[in-house]
This record gives sequence, C-alpha cells and structure tokens, in this order.
Amino acid sequence: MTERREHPDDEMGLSVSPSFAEDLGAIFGPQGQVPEGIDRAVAEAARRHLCRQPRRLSWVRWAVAAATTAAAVIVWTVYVPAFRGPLPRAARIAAEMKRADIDRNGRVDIIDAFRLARHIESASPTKRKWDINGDGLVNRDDVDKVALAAVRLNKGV
Amino acid sequence: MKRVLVWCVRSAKVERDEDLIERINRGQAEAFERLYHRHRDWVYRLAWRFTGNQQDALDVAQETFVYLLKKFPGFRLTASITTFLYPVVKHLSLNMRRKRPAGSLDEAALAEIPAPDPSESSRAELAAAMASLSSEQREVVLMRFLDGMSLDEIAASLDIPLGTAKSRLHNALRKLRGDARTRAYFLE
Repeated sequence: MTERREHPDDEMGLSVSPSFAEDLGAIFGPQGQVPEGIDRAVAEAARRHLCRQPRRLSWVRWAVAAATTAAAVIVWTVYVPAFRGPLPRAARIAAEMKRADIDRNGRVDIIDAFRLARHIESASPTKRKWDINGDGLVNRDDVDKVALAAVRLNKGV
Repeated sequence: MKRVLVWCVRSAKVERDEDLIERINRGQAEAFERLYHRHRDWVYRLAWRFTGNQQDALDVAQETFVYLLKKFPGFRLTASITTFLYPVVKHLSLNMRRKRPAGSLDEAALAEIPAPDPSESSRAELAAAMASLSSEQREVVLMRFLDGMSLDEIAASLDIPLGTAKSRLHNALRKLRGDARTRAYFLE
C-alpha cells in the first residue's frame, strides 16, 4: 500500500490504489503452481479428442453418402417406373380399348362409334376420356378412331 | 534485414483467443494447448478461490479444460473466453465442495486462506474487511480487481443485469471505503 498511483474505477466514481489489486492477489491467490502433470494430461486429452474428429467426420460423411444412395435407389425403383415413357404395347392397347368402349359393354364395336357420334352431334357435354386420339378435342376424328378400332382384328385404336 | 524484422514482429504477434478457437475447430491440438497455457493460471486461481484448497482447485482446473475441449469442434465464442469459463469453474467448484463435508462455502474457503504475515498488517486488515462483505459483493470485487474483468463481463459471467453488477460493486466499494481498515486504498 506504499504506491498510490491512480487506478480509477470510472463507472463507480471510486478510485482505488493499484496496491488494492496487488494485496487482493496476495490474499486470495493460490498456493503453488499448476503441476506439469496436469499440463501433460490436458495436452494429451486435446490430442486424443481433436485427432479423433476427422475420423468421426469421415464416418458421418460415409453414412450420409450411403443414406443418399439408398434414398435414390428407393425413388428410382418405386416412383420412376410410372414416368418411364410409353406403356408396353399390350397395356397400351388395353387402355385404348377401354376408352373406346363408349357404352361400357366390355367390347368395342361400331355401336360405340355410333354412340360417340351421337353425343358429339347433340352438343351435350362430352367426357375427356372420349378424346381417343389424344389431340385435346372430342370430335369426328375420335369417332373415326373408335370405328377403326371396332373393325380391327387386334382391337387396337 | 527488414524481412527478418517483419518476420520477428509477425511471429511475436499474439494470436487472439478467437483465432486459436478457429484453429482448434479445425482440429489443431497445438492451438488448444496455447489457449490452455494462456488461461490456465487464471482458471486455477479462480478454482482455488471457490474451493479453498489446492487439490480441489487443480481437479477443477483440469475438468474445466476437459469440458471446454468437449465443445470442439463447432465451438463458437460469443463473448470473451473468461466470460465463458467463469461459470464453468464456479459450477465445477461448487460441485466439488458439495461432495465435501457440510459447511458454508465462502466461510470455509476464507478459512483456508493462509493468514497474512503479521508484518503485512494492511493485508490482514484487507482480508478482514473482505470477509465482512457478503459473498456476492466479495465475488464482484475480486472479479473486477483481481481478475480484471469489465462490468459487462462480470454481468455476463454471473448472468445478472449490468445494473445489478454495477450496484453490487458500488455497494461493496462504498463499504470498503467506509471501513477504517481499508480506507487507505481509496484515492480522494
């Protein structure tokens, strides 16, 4: 407490001598130093812990890659077939025959063509499924398609 | 010659805690050792203050750095490292003391502080005056003057509003100034 240089604690409006901190350090300071054994233990723990990180990250990376691949395979096998272009010929013919069967009696004949023609001429509401040739319109061309299907041997449109 | 000088200045440049933490996040154990050596003595001093004995203080110091180590990688420092470590040391010290036989924490810790040399009467008087403060007041005085923490850091470390930290310190200092044993430390 011999030195009395200013050591202000501005915000408090109270100024204390630097020896205040010095004496507090002498009273509340610890005895002895941190032994080297603890330095070594901490250093060793740091090396072990931090050197392990890249392996863990690489494991995580592999896991993420594997999960992504598995998800892609599932999507490919479950969803993609539905968008894989034209159906097989047999399935396509069956779908067309079903649409051309206007009176729903289980077979496509000239009566279906006649019924479709009558629907169109009567100007009554037409159904989208009657767009047999897929041009976005239900008209005389669709009637021709049905008629053609009715006389075909393999019953394809 | 100039190049050598520049190299020396760059080498001597002290790496900030934030830079060390960035390097530790990249897996550099050497950076952690640097950070440890920079704050080791403060952590030990703090632990000693809370536990009151050397063995416990050493255990707490080691546990504190192991705790910090486990935060990596991915540790982000939002305040100073002392603000982060202070509550960790305090918590670990209190846990350590809880395992010991019952007794008032602060009084027990104070009792273990070695009696000052009788020739250093001013220190003995300061110790007595400090013991007369409440534990909360004593804590902020030590944080401010022994640990050199700013009021913001004190408030953040103790998780109290800045105003509370200020008033706690102000009241403690007023009490010490009004105490005949410590009045001499205060400048007019």
